Amino acid sequence: MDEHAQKQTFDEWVGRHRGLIFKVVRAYAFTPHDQDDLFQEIITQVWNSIPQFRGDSAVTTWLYRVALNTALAWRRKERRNRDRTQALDGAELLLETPLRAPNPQLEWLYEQIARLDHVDRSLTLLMLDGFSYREMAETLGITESNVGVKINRIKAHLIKQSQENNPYEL
Amino acid sequence: MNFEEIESVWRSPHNQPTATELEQHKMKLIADLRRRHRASRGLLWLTLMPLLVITGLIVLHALQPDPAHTPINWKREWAVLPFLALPWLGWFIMLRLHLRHQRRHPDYDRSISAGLAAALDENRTERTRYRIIAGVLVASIPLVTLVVHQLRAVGKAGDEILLPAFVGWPVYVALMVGWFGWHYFRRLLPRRRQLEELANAYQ
Repeated sequence: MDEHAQKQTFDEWVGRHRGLIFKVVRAYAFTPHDQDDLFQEIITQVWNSIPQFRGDSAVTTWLYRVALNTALAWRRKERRNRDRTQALDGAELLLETPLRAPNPQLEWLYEQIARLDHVDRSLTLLMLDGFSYREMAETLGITESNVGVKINRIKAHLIKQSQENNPYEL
Repeated sequence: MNFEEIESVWRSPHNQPTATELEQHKMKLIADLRRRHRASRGLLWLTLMPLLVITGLIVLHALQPDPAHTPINWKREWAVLPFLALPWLGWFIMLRLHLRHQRRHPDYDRSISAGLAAALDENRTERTRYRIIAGVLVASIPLVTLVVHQLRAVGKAGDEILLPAFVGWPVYVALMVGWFGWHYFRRLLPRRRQLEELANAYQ
């Protein structure tokens, strides 16, 4: 693939699926600086991976896979950097409040997603974007039955959390 | 909330980025690239100035020798030429890299993809630049030995030159190469490896 074709593909995919990238960024990075950083990491990775795209899966599934893997790698790197520069305390999540448009329900949802581990967090994003169990299993490298069990647990958890701290009152 | 309500919150327009947000990211990418371009140009100018001064002084001394000093005997003091040519060679290679990068990406601010391609190329150029500077510094050590030997042989330098030439200069080179090496191996290479590993995972 020449660079011109790579640029065309990239512009088309990033333009059309920017919502997907922004959702992953918001689920993993919580300050404007970190969000810029992760966004750049993801688009860099998308750019580098485009020549390897074989078309075996849908573009959205493939993009989610790239974005989630990059976010995980970025998170690990960030954690190592922070461990070196400052001590983390339990209030990290409370301090890392999302900074986008003030929509209390959406902010609450992102906060809940941010509290999940990587697999559950990824599953939640894929589930909310309407991916099938098979697609989720392929993207995350786990079995479909495992996806089913986890999805049920996540749904129950989110509903319970929404009842405990009613996001409509936020 | 029940799950349908949670889904509707997720699919609301509030959770869709605007074209402006994408544009903001593009502008940040381009601003970062412009900063790197400025740094690259700055490095070229910063290294050009002392090179011009030193070369100018040597040329002046060769063309209009100071009567108070012995003129340069090129047959016995030729080592100064490769010693001077070495940094010039490195400088011209860096200039060529810089110009090639600019030629390849004249429209880097047109789109995110153009900016990204330019940023990746700039990263490769930076890695090459580090290798060139480190290479020039290391190659200068045997040349300094040769220059010192010739200067002592023609009686233009005595023992006082030994300490700066064989201790001062190698220590400086070691510190510089160490710093470049640290930056190269701890920052640039892990980043490249990480990208390669991720790229392989998608194959």
